[in-house]
Amino acid sequence: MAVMDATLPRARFARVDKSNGILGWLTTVDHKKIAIMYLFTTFFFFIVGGIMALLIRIQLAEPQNTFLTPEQYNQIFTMHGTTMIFLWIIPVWAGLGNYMVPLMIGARDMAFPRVNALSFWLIPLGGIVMYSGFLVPATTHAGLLCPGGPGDAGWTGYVPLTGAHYSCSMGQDLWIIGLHLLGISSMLGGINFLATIHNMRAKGMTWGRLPLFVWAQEITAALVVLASPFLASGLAMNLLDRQIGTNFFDPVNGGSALLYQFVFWFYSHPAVYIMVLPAFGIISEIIPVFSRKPIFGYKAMAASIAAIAVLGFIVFVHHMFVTGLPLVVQTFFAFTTFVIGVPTGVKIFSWLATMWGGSIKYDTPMLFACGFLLMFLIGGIDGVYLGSLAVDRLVHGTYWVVAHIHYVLFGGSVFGVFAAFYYWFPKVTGRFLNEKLGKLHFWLMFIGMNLTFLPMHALGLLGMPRRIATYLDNRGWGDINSLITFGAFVIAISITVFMINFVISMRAPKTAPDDPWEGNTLEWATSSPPPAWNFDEEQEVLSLRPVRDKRMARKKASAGAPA
Amino acid sequence: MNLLAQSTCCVNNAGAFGDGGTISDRALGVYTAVFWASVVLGVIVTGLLLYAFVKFRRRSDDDDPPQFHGNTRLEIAWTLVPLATFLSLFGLTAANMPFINNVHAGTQYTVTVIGQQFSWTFDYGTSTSGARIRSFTTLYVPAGSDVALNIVSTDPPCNSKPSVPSGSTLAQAIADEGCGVNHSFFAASLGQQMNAIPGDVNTAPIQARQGTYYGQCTELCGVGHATMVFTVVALPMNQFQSCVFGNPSGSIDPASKSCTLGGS
Repeated sequence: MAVMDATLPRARFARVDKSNGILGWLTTVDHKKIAIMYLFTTFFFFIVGGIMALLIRIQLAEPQNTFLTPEQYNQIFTMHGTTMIFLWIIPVWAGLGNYMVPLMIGARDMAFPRVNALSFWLIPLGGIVMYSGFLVPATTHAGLLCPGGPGDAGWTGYVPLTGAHYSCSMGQDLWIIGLHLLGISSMLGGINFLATIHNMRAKGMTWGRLPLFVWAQEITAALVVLASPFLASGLAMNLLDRQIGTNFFDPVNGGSALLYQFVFWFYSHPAVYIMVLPAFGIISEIIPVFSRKPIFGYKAMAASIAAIAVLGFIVFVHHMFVTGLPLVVQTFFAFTTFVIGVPTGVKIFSWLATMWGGSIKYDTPMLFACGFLLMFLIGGIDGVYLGSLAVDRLVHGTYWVVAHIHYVLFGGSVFGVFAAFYYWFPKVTGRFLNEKLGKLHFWLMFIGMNLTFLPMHALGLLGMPRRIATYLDNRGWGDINSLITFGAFVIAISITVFMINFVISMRAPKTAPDDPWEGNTLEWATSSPPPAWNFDEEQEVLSLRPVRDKRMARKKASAGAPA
Repeated sequence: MNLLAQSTCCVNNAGAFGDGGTISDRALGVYTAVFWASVVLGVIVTGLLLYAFVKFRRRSDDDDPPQFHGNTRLEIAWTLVPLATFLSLFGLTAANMPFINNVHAGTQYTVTVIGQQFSWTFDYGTSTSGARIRSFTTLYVPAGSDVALNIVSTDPPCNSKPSVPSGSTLAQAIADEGCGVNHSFFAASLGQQMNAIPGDVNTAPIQARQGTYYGQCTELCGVGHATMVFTVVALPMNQFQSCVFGNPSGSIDPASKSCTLGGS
């Protein structure tokens, strides 16, 4: 690089895609185009998963409903959970990170652009493999009917229910292989993020000046790389048990059914943080910008993300509190579960202190950030009940858990995703999303979310188990379920408003400036949308808020100049 | 929510507030402490957030708020206060768990709970003639007495050798055989929940005041998962004795007077 003529614009060195149009998209290795494909693909699966959620809610709206058969119900809630986690939340953050991490650290692209393309293409592939289970027909083996269809044993895929004895449909194998492909995508992406963030930061961007969204992506990537192999190993062992008769999980032949749960949760508890840490990151970017203040306790914020990630590996047994483990083991994991509440509390207080004394402007991204704070707080608090072993006996395996996971993953992660969509839409497209429709979207989603998931706490306390296809009418669960179904449709309307907003906004003229929100971080230093080569000039970073530094310097200069 | 649930719970005794026995009393005691701690914490933090949302909204485009970056004392405080709260809740939980988790000393009766696709069988041991005493879908317990549950899973598809080898308990035999899928015995009003896992024998204590309590499987076990409901009937001791152990052939007649609460 040193011998190159410094006066040449960096555009000279850009990889220009060989062709535009469809072929250009299919062959691109540009992180921004890959990210856009990530976003469209994952949003598509979000809609599919959402439609399945509505089917679930129609079925449960009243006792002893027959809208779905139990077989269909099990398939649909299994695919709902698997889709939302593995085809929506985890990869949508990979997509947003793909677009923004290189920009926020002032880099030209991800470290391994071709690996990046592979990470993306494995997502639709994994989705297609998994969904092709719907095409598996019923068959007869040795006089026994084997129902077809996709995986139907829940997103957790516990053995022995997913073993060959109890899930004879090839749909279960397709579910395992599809999930495997998605896991590989995730791991490749994680390695790519680590390599990018460690090696490609702009001049002057020390670890102490790294934007918190990038910190969150860094630690998420580390979690992905460390934890995902355990999911992969659990899936591989199950596949071998099913297909070639090994006995890892078969207690009849000396295996252990409980072992699967250990392997699965050693991945899947960290996976909760894989889903929510990037939301912490984007909230930590949006709140300072719209409050016109620096993030409160930057070091504590970065440290608490890391602390949550480390502790996240030693709380997983709380998913197994009623599996009959020795009391001392249960008690240890209850202790760690209570302790992990502390760094989470630090984050909420720090966001509050960031707004304190600030000047808060409520554009749609900030509304979603505020919604995130209120909802994630509830999701944190109702988790404390589950962490307490004694209370857990009352609500484990009930709708309380369903309420908790949705306050964390919908109220937390998905509110974070939409905050990010509204915040970065001008950067990616050069256009604003319509503010009025954005606010309508927010309020409908906020109200719908609480109508849907708050009453589930009551259902849990009333003893309604999760994952049941229907329920008796003498249990007193009917009215609450009807309300929940109504709430789910309010959420559906809010998402429809978002899609209408998207279409309308994409037809509007490009009016977004480079830095529409008075941003802090480097993505606002380039044009909207950024050129293929990201930045026309090399970026240099002197503080946590490089773009604000420049804006303030300009203001000072123009104020100082004679009128 | 606490109040909401309490107002509707006792219609059916399916929920956590069914007032079932000493174990659920302990669990509910911890619940109440967690509830008030979470209400206090939740109201304070939500209140502060809402106050900040309103109080610090932008009034003029020229607002230029002071730029402070942190406050060590404040940060230490909001680390230590939640830590102390969580640790006391943990202490309360840990103190109550032996009673909720471990079989109580002096327990006279042990029942083997067998989860199958898709029903529950309860096994009380052998009758005077050596036959197994079993009830289906309804678990009979003596009211006010401690009962130990051995919770196991077994299912037809690989259940080709249902005979019990001599010299071993039924629970051991089933554990050795290891067939079946996961189920979970959940009686919310009695404060007890425990998985039935093939190959394992899980134990849990249970204790019920006189009455009828609903329970249900809480671990996905296949297409009939929703149908795996059961009832716990806590009978006065003499009635329990004659209901369960009164018949030399080992059979239990759910319709008999001794097996029915309030039947006259």
